[in-house]
Amino acid sequence: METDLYHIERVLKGETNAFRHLVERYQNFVFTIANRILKNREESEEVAQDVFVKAFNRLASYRKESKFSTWLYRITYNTAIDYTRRRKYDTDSLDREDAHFNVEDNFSKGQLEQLAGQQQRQFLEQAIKQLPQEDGLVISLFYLYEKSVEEVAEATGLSQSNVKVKLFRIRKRLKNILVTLLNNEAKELL
Amino acid sequence: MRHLTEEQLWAYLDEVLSPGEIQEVKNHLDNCGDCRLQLDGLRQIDAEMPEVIISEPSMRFTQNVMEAVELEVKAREYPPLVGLIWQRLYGMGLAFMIIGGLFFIYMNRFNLTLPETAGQMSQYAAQWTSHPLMTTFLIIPLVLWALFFADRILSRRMLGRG
Repeated sequence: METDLYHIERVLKGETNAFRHLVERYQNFVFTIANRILKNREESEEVAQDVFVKAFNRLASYRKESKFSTWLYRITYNTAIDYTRRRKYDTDSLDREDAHFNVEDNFSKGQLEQLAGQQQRQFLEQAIKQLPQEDGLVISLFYLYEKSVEEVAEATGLSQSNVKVKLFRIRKRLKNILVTLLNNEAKELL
Repeated sequence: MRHLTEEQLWAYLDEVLSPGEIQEVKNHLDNCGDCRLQLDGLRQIDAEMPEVIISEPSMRFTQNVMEAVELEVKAREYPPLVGLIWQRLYGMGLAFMIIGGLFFIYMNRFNLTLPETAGQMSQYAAQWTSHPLMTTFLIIPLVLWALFFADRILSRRMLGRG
């Protein structure tokens, strides 16, 4: 598989079609980040498209010292944030304190983790949506970068130790949200 | 027996522990069923996370992006409108310089003063432009220039640039 630099150089030489390879490689990455900020598929797709057009126009200014994905992440983040400002979204509306979650751990240790796969996935999806924006971005980047703390640190500008601490706190918060969701689910069933 | 913390288990799963710490965790897991169970649960969640987190755009996404990129490439083929105007102004300036030069040569050739030269030129110009055919030949280039500018302006608007 050719590197990003190979395709970038072809695009800069005038082979516009070579840009397709970069789009196919990073479309999920860009779309996921946009969706984490905007929480709306249609708008995320529009923003993701804008990101790639901007990247195409600015390709000559891409400095090869940093990774292409890091450069793309910054364009995506800035474009999505600009979009929310234009649409006057309250991006902090989902910023909840842990105390708001009623962490009554009625479930025994290990019971949460032993939910069936599909059910677990549904709860995880709901829980991730309820994370504050910054936490959602960090955890998304962590799994987008295949669990590389170093790459998450480079993209976000945080130190590696800071990323590790954040990840632990996010996972703890995620678990609290999951416990609350499960408690609510159990109460509805009773 | 002191159990492993969730932080330790996650760090173990994320492979960010030092070799010494990894061995410590492994030793404990060999002897603690509860921690092994918890680790299995976390491993399960960890395996689900990429499926849950990573979203995909629509099937047409790449095609839409490439179409937008093609439009950007086409837009670059049209020079900026201001540049076009400056090109025309420079052209007109050059034309005036050539006409002025010929005027000057004519004056010197026939030893005429400027008013006399202008007067003769006016008579010739009046004769030429009074003919209908000459009038048509003068008007047609003006109309063509106007149509050319209008086309450029409309093309730029269609490509989305004001």
